[in-house]
Amino acid sequence: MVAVRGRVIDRVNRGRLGPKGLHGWVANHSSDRLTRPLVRRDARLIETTWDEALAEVVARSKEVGAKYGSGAIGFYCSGQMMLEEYYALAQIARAGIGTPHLDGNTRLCTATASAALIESFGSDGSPGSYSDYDSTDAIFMVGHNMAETQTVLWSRILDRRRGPRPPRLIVVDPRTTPTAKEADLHLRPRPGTNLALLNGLIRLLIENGNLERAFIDQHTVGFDELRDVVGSYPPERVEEITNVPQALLREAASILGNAPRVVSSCLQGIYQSMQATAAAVQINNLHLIRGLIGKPGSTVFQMNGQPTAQNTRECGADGELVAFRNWNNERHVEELARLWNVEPAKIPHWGPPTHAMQIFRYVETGSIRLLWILATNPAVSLPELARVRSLLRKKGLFLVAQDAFLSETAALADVVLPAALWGEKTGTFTNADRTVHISLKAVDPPGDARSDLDILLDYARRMDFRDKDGAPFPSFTDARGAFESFRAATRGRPCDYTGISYEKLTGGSGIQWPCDEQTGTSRERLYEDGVFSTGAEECALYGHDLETGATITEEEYRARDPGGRARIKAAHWQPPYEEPDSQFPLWLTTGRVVHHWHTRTKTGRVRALNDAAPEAFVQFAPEDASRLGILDGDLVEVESRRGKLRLPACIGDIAPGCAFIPFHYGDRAANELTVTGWDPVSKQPYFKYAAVRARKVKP
Amino acid sequence: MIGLARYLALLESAEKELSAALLAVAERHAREPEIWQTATFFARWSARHATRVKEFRKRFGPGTDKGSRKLGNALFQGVRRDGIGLVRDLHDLSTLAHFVHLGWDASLQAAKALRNRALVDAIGEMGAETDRQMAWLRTAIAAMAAQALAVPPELFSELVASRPKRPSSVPRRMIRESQLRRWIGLFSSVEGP
Repeated sequence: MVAVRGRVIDRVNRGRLGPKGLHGWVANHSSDRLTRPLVRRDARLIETTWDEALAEVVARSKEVGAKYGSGAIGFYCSGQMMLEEYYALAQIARAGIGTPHLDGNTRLCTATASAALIESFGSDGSPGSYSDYDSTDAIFMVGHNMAETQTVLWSRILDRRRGPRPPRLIVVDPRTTPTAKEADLHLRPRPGTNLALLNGLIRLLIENGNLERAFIDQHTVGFDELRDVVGSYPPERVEEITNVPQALLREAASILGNAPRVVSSCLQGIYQSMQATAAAVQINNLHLIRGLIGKPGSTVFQMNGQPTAQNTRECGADGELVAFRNWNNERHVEELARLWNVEPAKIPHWGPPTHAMQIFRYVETGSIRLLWILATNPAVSLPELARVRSLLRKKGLFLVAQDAFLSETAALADVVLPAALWGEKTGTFTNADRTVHISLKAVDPPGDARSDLDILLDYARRMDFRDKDGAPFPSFTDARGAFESFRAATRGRPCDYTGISYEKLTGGSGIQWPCDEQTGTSRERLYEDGVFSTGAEECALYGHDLETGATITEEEYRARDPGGRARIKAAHWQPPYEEPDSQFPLWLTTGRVVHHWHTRTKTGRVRALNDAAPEAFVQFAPEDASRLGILDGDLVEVESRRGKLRLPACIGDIAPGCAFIPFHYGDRAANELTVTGWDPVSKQPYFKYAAVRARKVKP
Repeated sequence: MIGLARYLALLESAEKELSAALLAVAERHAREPEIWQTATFFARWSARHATRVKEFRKRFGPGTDKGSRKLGNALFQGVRRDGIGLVRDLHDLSTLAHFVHLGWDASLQAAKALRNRALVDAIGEMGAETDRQMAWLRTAIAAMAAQALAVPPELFSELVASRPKRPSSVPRRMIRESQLRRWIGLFSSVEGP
């Protein structure tokens, strides 16, 4: 590979690339790529052959399975593999091994997007399209720093903002991010208060009569409950809780209540904070009560944080079953079992698929004895790292890591399997507006490295997994075969891929699902007719009590089957589980910088990106900095109840009382400080609030 | 004195038992963050119910019932530290919550017969919250039972990982000191293992 360029013909990027798209490929050439499998011998990792490495993984899988059952084996994957790879993994874990313990690091990034879409609309999948930004009148971004997380889409918005009839822009963020600097209105709530703010906003919309009554009556259920709940969030109380001045809240409500077309979006500021799902659902509600959904220029984006997070979810490599099937619906499980030609009982569905944080808890308590980690780096990305490191090092745990580099996690593994990167394999991936793209193999992977798909299929053959007729399982042998099998599994589901093929994806633009075989055309928007995927037979889950996380049973759901109406759900605000006090007086919030990705496994190896953002920092408001006697560039020790870090200070662009640390840097990881806890519905961990203290130290 | 006074007394003490038991279970399984979070959250609901029921109870004259106390003492016996211990604790909490739930059912009938609108409404609200507590307990049991009962534990790790030490991640901040003192004053503590 020598360079990457954008494709003008593409409906998403139109030829534009962000810094990581432009430079990220350079990492493929790094001299420290893993090129041989590694096995641990006498506490050291030594190079070996595929035969030896996989034989060891197979022997341990069989031993653990025989002795302790399939529930002693877990898989933790990624938001960065390809559709075909997640699908193969889902087959292997769910119907080969038969374990409920399969989740992706999407649990840390978009579990709430999926949960919120399902709670409101019955199914995962963004209702709208990025083209809605081209015609909208107002843009509402909540906890979403698009200028640093989605640079190409941000350029599209800047085009509108600099052109005729620019849309208004409202940003909610405790930091004055580059996105917030562009905004017409910037609300800076205290960490952990999103839901109070949004409840207050909805209350004002209702009070001002900014409602589409006909839509509410015909296409939703639950409006009265919403009105009752938000009734107790008058602007005065919201200001008290959130520190957002009443006047600003009223102005936001006036813009969002009166703009003819609105596009809202949220990301980690919502998803990784208190009451993630309840807050994300409240943004859905804003569109439901105004009837602003399924129409050009109006939609809500529950954004994705990683390039292929949508595929982790579609393929059931996380907490759902393939193609948004409901694990709690016997007919969905039977259908999937038929498609895979396995017994329904083989597919774990006696309880919810185990979420990532619980998988790691089972590792900690010793009931999971074999953990296979693919394309992700939990030793840097999970909260409370001291705990994570100690549980990954546990005696009695057999740890397999599959990666292109010897990440912090792979360095702890018993077996390391070298994987190919994009450009070295063929596969597909899907973005947050449901556009499917193909990525073709251009060059061979270095040394003996192999694609994640090939590694998984080789393992499956060596394990000799069989379907119920004794044929090898999975039935496919390559990426195209995996895509075809997945395609068949999406027939008639909300994410219908049957009209999409490798041929159609090659050469032109990406293609949006749903795209069925009969018509062969994509639908740009879902729910254009106001009919949602909430029918009891169709929905991806029966949903939850948003405040407690209790699941709604099938009987309860069927008794009040919304039958295609969207569900308006509401919840009261609760204070966060950790708040600043006299000992730890500052709020810590964590996040990204534009030049890096996740734990820098690739971007840290790209000179252009690394030079642009070489090290971690901690950001303070000028008021706090002067009180602490800290100047820009001073070395500061930041400490929470979980750990401490030394970082250079950076002053400004953040609300007083808050501190911000980017999470990418493994050598000084923000997650040394974060709390172990998660949203009761989406199970997404809290990275956006923790109480810390800071003091200047000598370098 | 009418029987309703005794039933409300039964409910008052049952909610105190439930609240204290939720706190005890939260503390015992503090290294299961979701259990800690939600059980602590629910303890506040039950404490609030106890206070609210007391107001009504006083209006119907004196009444006592030791049934809840005895039930509370009969539950939560034995070692409750590992996965199965957690499921057993959730199981016992469900028993208490169910006891409360039936108390609401019976009292609601009486409140209706007495045409006491305020009590009917109050029971409706509190009973709905009890239902939500029970739904969560069922959800938590369903999520944890298979691993706890069907997968053999690794005893040493389990013991170390479930030491009833508060995880460093959850500070005492949520239960404010004053609240804690008030609760302790209000309730008899649940017998531990």
